[in-house]
Amino acid sequence: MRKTVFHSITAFILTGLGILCSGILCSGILCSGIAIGQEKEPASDGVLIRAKHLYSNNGAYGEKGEVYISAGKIKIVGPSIDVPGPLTILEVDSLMPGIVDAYSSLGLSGGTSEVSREITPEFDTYSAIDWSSRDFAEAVDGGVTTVQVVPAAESVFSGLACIVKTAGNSGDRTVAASGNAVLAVCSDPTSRNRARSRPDGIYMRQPTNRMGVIWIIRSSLNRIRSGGTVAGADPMSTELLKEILNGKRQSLAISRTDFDIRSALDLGDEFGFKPIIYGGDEVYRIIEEFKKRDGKVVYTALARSATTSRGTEGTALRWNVPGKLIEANVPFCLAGESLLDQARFAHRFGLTAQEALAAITARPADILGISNRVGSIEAEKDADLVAFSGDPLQPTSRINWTMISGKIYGNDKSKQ
Amino acid sequence: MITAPVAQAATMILKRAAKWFVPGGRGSCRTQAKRFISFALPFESQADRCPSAARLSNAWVHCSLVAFSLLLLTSPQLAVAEDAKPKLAIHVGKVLTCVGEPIIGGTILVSEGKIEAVGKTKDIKVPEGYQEFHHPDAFAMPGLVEAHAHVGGSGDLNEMVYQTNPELRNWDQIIPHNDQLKNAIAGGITTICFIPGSGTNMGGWGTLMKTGPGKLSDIIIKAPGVLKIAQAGNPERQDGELGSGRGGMNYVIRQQLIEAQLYVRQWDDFKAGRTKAEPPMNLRLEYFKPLFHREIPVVVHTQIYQVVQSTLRILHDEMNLKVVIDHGTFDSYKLTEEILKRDIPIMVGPRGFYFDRDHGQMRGIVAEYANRNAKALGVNTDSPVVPQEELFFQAAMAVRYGWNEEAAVRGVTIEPAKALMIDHRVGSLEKGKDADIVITTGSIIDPRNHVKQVFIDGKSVYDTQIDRRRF
Repeated sequence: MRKTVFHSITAFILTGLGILCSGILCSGILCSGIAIGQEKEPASDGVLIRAKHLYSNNGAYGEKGEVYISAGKIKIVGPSIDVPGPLTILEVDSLMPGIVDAYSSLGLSGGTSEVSREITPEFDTYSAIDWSSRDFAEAVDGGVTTVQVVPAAESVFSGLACIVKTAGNSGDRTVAASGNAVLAVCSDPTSRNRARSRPDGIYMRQPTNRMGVIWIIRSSLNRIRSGGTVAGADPMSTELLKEILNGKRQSLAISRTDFDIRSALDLGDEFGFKPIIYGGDEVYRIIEEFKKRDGKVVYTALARSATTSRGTEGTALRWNVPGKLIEANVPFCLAGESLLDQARFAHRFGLTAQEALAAITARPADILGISNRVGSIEAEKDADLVAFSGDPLQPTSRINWTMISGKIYGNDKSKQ
Repeated sequence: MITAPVAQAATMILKRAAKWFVPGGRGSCRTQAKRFISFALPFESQADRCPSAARLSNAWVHCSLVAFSLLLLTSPQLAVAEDAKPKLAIHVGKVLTCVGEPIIGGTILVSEGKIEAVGKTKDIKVPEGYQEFHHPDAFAMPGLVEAHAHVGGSGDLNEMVYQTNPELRNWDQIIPHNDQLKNAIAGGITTICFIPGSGTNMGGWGTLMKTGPGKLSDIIIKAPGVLKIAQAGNPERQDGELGSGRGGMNYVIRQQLIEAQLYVRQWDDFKAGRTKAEPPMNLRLEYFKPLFHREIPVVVHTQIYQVVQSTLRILHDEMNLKVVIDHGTFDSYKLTEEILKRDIPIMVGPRGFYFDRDHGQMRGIVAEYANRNAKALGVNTDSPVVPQEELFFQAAMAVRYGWNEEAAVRGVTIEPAKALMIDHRVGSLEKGKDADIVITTGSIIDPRNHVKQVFIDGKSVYDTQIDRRRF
């Protein structure tokens, strides 16, 4: 017995030493960032960026501006700033905040949702992220610095989203580890289930259509509301659903058709919570009602409009939905793939240039509740910046480099 | 009855396809374009209504629309149409009120979306501020009421994992004023009973709704409006579950109803103070309360003599529910005497005729019921099995087989409204009812006539002078 305890203590100490050593090793690797690839550590602690055109989301739009960065944070922003001490000075043409994608599946490995059951809110995307995924490197090249990783809506309560930076060492990359809870108010969970097949298969289950989706949401939330538990589900499911109902956890409803969007809000009213709509393809059809009901939407359909007039689930897509949303003063952001292109199109179809840039930076940060850290170039925010060879909304402009928490990831070394 | 009348359905599909491709026919861009001016948001263009239309061609439509809408803005009609609840005076050659005698030379006054007065033009003084419509050569009739439709929203009809699904409801998937409902309006239909399919013995709860534009809350008359039960045929189970035959299916239905009846009784006893402890709430059984309180009916997919017999015995005699026989085809008309004893309405369709082998004769089902003195009698389309706008044609064919024409007009208006228990709102032109008014070039039962204008809740939602003839 004694011996066992002794061994445990030894093991504990050894493990501790191991962690310490690997920590030292890691930081060693990080310090020599330049050596291992694209990462480039500025020579001193402070970096001053001089931009001919600054798009800050906080006063400056295209004017000359300077940004001082220290310890991964933005410290001073102004037309011309004076900082003492040794500095790395970077000259750029245009500078904007890092792009925030509120709806992505970047780095999600081993399946994008849990399909064994319909109620698995405890499935946590954070535990399935491959930090070394090439997806992240590509996102950085496209100027995307923060993403919300959302599980697919393959089951009704499919899991928790998380918010991470697209580069950096894994610990620092986390913005919110287990965040918004996903609710599928759409036909996605029905695609795989069958009503008539071998009765011993796990996919012989509700929902096989939307009526079943609505019922699963209503029945499980009702059970929680009346003090019960979700039958057959993990006890953690119950806790998470409780958090949705008591407002401690934000829910996001994946809904694209006008009637699904309406149903998501109706469910919210019935059970006393306010889901944010993700997808939102046809929100323009019920925009007055949506506004009256304080709806918020993470609009992803613009990524598709370029190639088709039909979205997922056969939704009818429109070009100028962001313009309509701005006009109606509905909180929204653009999300999904090719965000820079989306902003360019949104500008072409109804948003001012300023609004278009905000729609992929400040607005998603607001909707995700992380605007204290990202979304604009302001003092004390994370130094997440994108440098361009010209106006970011011009298709001829190139991204020179992307900075995340003060560290530069460049795909155009000649310009640095 | 989605599956049965295959030949009929195939003909309809061909007809529909033909209409899509005829220039200026149903669904064509040009027809839709005009509609867009008065209702749609800018840029809610025609792509969803004309799937084949490319974006470029839409752009051209937009350009012409701008010019056209400028023209419209100058017309006085539009200004009035934008008023939410306009006051109207509609003058027509003949009013079919569907209660009492037709009125020759009639006027209908409408205000706040309701009918204010109906009478002879010479007896009604039009107050100031009423917009007047003159259709001296036309008929006015109540909006048609469809007792069995599946076209109110998305195609989520059957959730078939379980055999009885009282937990399901279909109003979350409603798409107000969708393409099929726009066509329905052009056929004069202003109210539908939108129900789940008959893939299971209890498909779920249906909605009674208007076909016109508006928010969900504007267009719903009642939700839950009806329960859908299917007793035989489609819901048969082939997978080793109970219910491969009628005996098993009726057992399953009965078990579910008994469970629900007990639940409702517990609550009734509690509400009446007969018991002290509040029963636990069961969300799955909640909507049975209005059903067992006989505030809403059960619409039953039932047909064939034997099946209708079990409908009468189980659902009416034993469960004491408000029952609507919602197909009633094949030889079930032979049960008319039993049906009449129980005062149960019959909404026949989509199949309208039956080959009587005993006599080697084709029989019109509705006429057979009518000949046996059934009065609470109507027709349905089971849309999209028969296109929703062809409800009148179901009635016309029934008349062809011997139904009385006056009864047929009632059979697409007040009789389905009564059966669905919404005759206080729709189904006839009477003071206080919803101003759902259809202007036709003559009797709607005669296929040579067509719908000229439709008002729903006192608003003009279709006007061939503006929209062209859609149907």
